[in-house]
Amino acid sequence: MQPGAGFARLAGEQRKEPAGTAGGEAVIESTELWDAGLSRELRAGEARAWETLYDALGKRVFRLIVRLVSDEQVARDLTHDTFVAVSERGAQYAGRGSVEGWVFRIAANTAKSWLRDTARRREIREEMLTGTTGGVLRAEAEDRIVLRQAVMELSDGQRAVLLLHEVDGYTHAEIGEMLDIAEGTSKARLSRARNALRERLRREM
Amino acid sequence: MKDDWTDGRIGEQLRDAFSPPEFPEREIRSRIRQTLKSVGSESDTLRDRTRRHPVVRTVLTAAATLMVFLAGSEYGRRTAEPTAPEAGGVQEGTPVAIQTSGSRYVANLARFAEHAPALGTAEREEAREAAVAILYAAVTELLAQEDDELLAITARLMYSLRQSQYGTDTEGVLLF
Repeated sequence: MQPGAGFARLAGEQRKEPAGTAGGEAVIESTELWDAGLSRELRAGEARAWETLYDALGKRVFRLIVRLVSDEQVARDLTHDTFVAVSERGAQYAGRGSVEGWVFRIAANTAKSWLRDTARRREIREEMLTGTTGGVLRAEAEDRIVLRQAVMELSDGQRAVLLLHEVDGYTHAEIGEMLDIAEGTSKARLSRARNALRERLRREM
Repeated sequence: MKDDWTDGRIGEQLRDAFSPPEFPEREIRSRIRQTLKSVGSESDTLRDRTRRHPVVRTVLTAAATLMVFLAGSEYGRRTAEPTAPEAGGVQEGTPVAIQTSGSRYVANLARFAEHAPALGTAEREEAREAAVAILYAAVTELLAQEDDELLAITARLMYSLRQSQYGTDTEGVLLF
């Protein structure tokens, strides 16, 4: 059996894109991603199993990490590290829960570990506030500077949930699986983030 | 009552200001392939040669001892004893570069190996820094060899080094 052959049936599933979001990449629902063939390949240490997962999840993993670390270049490195880890740790995948969730947890943990470097996090935040970081932020219009600052002042957890939900269009269930938090926690973080932004924008705009 | 969220105004501004970057799919795929090739995931022979190299053995014995302690895992507790420095991993045949740049770290290794179960957060962080320093020394020494095989080993070590800099609770921080 070719690595990932069981994934053929997964093609063609489309995520509902939020209004104004470009894209339309094929995205696979969690329940469909769990694949017995791939699970066996991972546990058997098949060398190319990571590539099947990269084809299916690479873009979403990259964007998740971008949301967590707010730096495109770092996200490239950490996406690389995530799939190297997927390849290295395939044998550790126990087959419980979805393969997709397992990959996202590795990605989220990789990003969170990087974020623990508080000096680097502070540096990134300052770059974001001054608009010197490339890639993540597109808009430079003055009337959006306040919005950008307000978003960057949120906690890491609130900002990630806000952007994953409002910009990337993920549901709370999906965010919960990606970040390994309860669905209710995702909702609560979004609510707090919205309130904080509302308050800040009301004062500034 | 409608507000800026429910009428979509803020959401639209967020999407404009934080539109996701393009996914550099080919670049990242290529880098992953290179890493896996260089580190031996697709070559057991290279991995075996890497493991046998005396410099690598010494460094990895030292660093792996620390990192499994740092992870605080059951696996770490099971494997700590046979890889402990006093078993000969660190103190015998320690490369010159590591001796000169890291005698303090080697001493720390022995201490951490002995007291690992009781390590506090600060001590774990100190141990992580020691492991990183040892890896730096190993990379420096290996780069000086200008040998293709050793460069491949170096690539592996550099990857481990970067992983170990992320923190202390990532599973499988050291990949040897």
